[in-house]
Amino acid sequence: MEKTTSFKLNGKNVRLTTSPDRMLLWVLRSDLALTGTKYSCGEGFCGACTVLVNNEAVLSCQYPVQNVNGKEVLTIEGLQKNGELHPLQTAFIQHNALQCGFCTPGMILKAYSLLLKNPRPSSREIVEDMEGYLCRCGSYNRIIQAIQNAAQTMKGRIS
Amino acid sequence: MKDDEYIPFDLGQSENPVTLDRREFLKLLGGGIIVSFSMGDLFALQERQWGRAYPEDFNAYLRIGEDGRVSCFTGKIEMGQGVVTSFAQMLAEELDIPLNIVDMVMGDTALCPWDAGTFGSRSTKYFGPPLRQAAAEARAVLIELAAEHLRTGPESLAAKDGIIFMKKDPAKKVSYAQLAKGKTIERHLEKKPAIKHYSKHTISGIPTDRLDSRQKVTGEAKFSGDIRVPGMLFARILRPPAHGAKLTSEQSSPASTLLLPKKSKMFRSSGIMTWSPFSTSTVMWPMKLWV
Repeated sequence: MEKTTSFKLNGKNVRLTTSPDRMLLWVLRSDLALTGTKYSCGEGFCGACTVLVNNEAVLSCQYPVQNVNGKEVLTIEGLQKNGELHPLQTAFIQHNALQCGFCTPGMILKAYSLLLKNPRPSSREIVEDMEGYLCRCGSYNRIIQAIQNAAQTMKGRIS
Repeated sequence: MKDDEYIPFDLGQSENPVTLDRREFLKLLGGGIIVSFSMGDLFALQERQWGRAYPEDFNAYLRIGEDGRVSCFTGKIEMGQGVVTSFAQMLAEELDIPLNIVDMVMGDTALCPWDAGTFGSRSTKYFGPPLRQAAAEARAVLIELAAEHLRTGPESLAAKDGIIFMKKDPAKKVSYAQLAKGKTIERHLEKKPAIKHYSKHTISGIPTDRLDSRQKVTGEAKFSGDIRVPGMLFARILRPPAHGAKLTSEQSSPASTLLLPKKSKMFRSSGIMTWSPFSTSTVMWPMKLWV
């Protein structure tokens, strides 16, 4: 049974009719061609598919599309403002906090949700919050540095 | 080597230069030391056996556009190891151009020089030297062409940032782009010029931002699973829900049972079920198909 779901995606209104139990990940990637959100394990173990729903980080591979009805979704494509990178994106570049970059969109969005709640996290708090976010290249230390550096740059002004 | 030149090798008397008991070995492993064997010679052998080699013509590796940008062609691909940046640095270094005018063209079989593939930690070692050599020769040829253009001797010229100028009168100059005109450079050198000594490097080996990082932090980077081509078909292997499960029957309309798209087809081979095209739905396991 298909149903209509309406939500705000990266600041724009989206309305689509689809099976309500499809996972948000596939709606984003296949129907809306936003492939910045990555399909990795598909089972909620790795964090690569993370998007923000009402500023909370969720695993879109485990999140039925009907659950975003009436909510705001932010994907990695929506993080730039007027072509300018978000400080987290800049910090990831400057700290070389990526190699293959496959986990990067999820890492950045998870860090974004952390900084919303805790604008000046310690490295321990970052590690604890990002537990379960996997980077096979092993850029973890640089990711932590990038998030701390972005936090300093933003001085509490996240968005 | 003659037979009598061989050093006699007696296993009974030989001493292993590295002797570790199990405890020491594990201690080393725990400390993050990984014991590995160099595959370099094997790869070189493999390459000869395939009867292919990197091209001699430097035009296969680079092209200077009319707009002054330089394309670097390589059969190697970027997968996080960083060669998209380090190869660009090598080319910029030998050609005396700024890094930010290099465009990397990687793995396109219609455009790039032959390559055995990107594996075995061998990109820098095996593709690096021919790339550097190609860029060094291109630079030397451009200096020759510039000497003719400026009616002077090549030794009185220097190159920087894609411009060749007279050392004594830098106002007299010509750019790589003006000389190459976006075309293949026909001239080659009989004697290949030497590549720069590493002590002279100002770009290669100097830390820089990755050339691909902006695309990767914005979600623009296309990984293989992100690419769609016209008429693309999708397939997926359906696996049993439990180890050792056996397929006992097939549904007449698997699409409805499995929440597959309406036009999908199911194939069965040796107990493996696949369907096509790719569903964007969750695949629910029809438990009754399996025991």
